[in-house]
Amino acid sequence: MEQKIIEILEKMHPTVDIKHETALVDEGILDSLDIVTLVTELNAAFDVCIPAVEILPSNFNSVEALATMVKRLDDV
Amino acid sequence: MSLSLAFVLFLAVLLPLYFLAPRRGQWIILLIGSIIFYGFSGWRNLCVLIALTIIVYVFGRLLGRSLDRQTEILKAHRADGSWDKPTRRAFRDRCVARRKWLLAAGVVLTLSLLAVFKYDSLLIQTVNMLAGTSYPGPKLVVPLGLSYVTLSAISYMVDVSRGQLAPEKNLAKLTLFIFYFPQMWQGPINRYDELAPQLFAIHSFDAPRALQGALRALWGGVKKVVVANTVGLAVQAVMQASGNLGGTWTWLMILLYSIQIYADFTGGMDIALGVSHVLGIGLYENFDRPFGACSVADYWRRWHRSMGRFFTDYVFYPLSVSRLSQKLSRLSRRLPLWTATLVTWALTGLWHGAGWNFVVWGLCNGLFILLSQELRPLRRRFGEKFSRVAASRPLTWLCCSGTLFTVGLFRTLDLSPDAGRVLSLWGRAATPSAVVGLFDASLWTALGLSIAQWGLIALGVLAMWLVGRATPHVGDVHTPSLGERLARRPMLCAVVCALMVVAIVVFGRYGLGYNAMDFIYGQF
Repeated sequence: MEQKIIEILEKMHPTVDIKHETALVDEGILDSLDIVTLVTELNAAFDVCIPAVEILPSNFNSVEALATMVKRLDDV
Repeated sequence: MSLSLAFVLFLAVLLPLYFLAPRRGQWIILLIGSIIFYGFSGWRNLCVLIALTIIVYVFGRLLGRSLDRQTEILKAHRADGSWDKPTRRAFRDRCVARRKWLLAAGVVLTLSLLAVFKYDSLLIQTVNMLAGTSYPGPKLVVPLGLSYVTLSAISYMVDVSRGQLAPEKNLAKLTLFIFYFPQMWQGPINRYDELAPQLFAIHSFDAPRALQGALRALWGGVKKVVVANTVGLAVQAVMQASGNLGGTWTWLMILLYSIQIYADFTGGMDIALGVSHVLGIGLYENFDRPFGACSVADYWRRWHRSMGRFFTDYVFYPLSVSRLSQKLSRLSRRLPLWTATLVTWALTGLWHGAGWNFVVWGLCNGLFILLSQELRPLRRRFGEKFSRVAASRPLTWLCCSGTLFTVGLFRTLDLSPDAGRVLSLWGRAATPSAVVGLFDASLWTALGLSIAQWGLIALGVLAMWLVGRATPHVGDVHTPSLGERLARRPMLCAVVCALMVVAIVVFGRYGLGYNAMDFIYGQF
C-alpha cells in the first residue's frame, strides 16, 4: 500500500522526497487542489471512500499517515 | 454602534467592568456588552441574531445527542459481540445519513435568515429578468455581521455533527460566541473550538498586551479613516465618470480600488483584532502579507484567510469527495477537482454579494486557479530548464505584480451589477489610448482630490507597505510582531499612539456617512 501511495504522490510532486517527508500539508507541499486529486486517486486505488471529515493535516502529512488512514477506513 | 466616539465610550465602560468583574463572571460582562453593542444596530437585527442563536443551539444539541447514541450502541454491540462488522457498518451508515438530514435542516434554516435579508433583491431581480416582470420587491438591510456569523454558526453545527466538537449545553455561552462584538463589522469567521476556550477563560489586565492591542486598533483606524476613506472619494469620482473614461476606467479601478479595499478591510480587521487583544482574546489572523503572493491561489491563502478556510473545509472538500464527485471521476480523474472548485468559487462570489456580477467574479478566480494548476507541469519543466531565471528576483517580482494585477482586475467586477459592461471595459483597457489616458494630468485633477490628499494617500500606501514588510508571517513564532517590539519601549509607543490619534483626528474622513457599516467587507 505504501508503495502505491508513494507512486501517486511522486507523480504529483516529482521533485519532493515523498518517502521521507513528514509535513506534506504543514510545509505547503500539498495544497487543497492536490488533496482532492490525491483523495480521488486513493479512492480508486484502494476502493475506499475518504470522507471530508478525514481531510485533516495529520492524515495527509506523510505516506505513513495516509496508509494508516486508508487502513482505518476499511474497518469500523 | 459605529466606529465613532460612541464606540470609544463603549470600550471605556466595558474594559474596566470586564477586568474588575469577579473572575468567573468576566464572560457574562462580555456577553452583556456584546448584546448592548449589537442592540445599537436595531431591535430587528437583535431579534434576527437571537433567532439564529436558538437555531444553532437546538440543532447542535440534537446532532450531539444523535452522535452520542450511535457511539453508545456501537460500543455495547462491539463489547458483547452481538453484531458482526457488516451490521455495525450498516447501523453506522444509517446514523450518519440521519445526522446528515438533521444537519441539512439546521444549515437551511440558518441560511434562510441570510437569504431573506441579503438575497431578496437578487431573487426578485432574477425573476423579473426571466419572466419579464417588474416586481419592485422589498430591499431589506442585512443585519450587521450576519454574513459572517452565519458561516461561524454553520461551522459549529458541522463540527458537532462530525464529532469534532462537543455541543455547548449553556445557551448563554453559545450566545456569546455568536454575539462577540469585535467580529461584527467584518469577521473574522471564527470557529467555536478556537474562540470559546478564550471567551470563557479568566483574563487579567496586562499593560503590555493592552498597549499592543491599542497600537494595532489605532493603526487600523488610520488605515480605515485616513487612507481608505480618502481614496474612496477618488473611487466614487471614477465610478461617476465611468461613461467618459472608456478603458482607462479599468486601470484606475485596479489601482485605486485595490488600495481602498486593502486599507478598508485590513484596517477593520486590525481594529477588531486589536480590541480583542486588549481583552486577552486572540482572533484568527485574516491576512498573511497578501501582497507578497506570487499566484492567485497563493493570494487566496493570504487574503481573508478565515473565509478561504471556511469554503475549503466546509464546501470544497465535502463537494469534491462526495459520492457524486467520485462517480464523475470515472469519466475523468480531474472532473471532481474542476466541478468542486468552480461551484465553491461561485458560492464564494454569491456570499460576497447578492448579484450575478459576484458569481462571475468567483468563477473568474476559480477558473484562473484551475488553469494555473493544470499548467504546473509546464512551470516545473521551465524551472528545471532555466533554474537561475526561475529563482531570480525579477521573475518573483513579475509574478507578484501579475498576481496583484489579476486579482485587482477581477475585483472590478464588484463595482457594477452589470458584469457584461465591466467585461467590455476590460477589453477596452487593452487599447493604447486607455493606457495613455492614465498619464493625462487633467484626469487626476478631475477626480476631485487635492494634491495634499494624493500625497496623503501615497504616504499611507508607503506606511502600509513598510508595516506589512515588518509584520511576520502568520505562524512565525520566532519573529516578534511590530506591536511587541514597540510595546517594549513604552515612551516610543505612547508617541506613536499619540501620532496616530492626531492623524485620525486631523486627516481622517469621519462623521456623517462614515460609520462601521461603511466597511466594504461589512456590506458583504
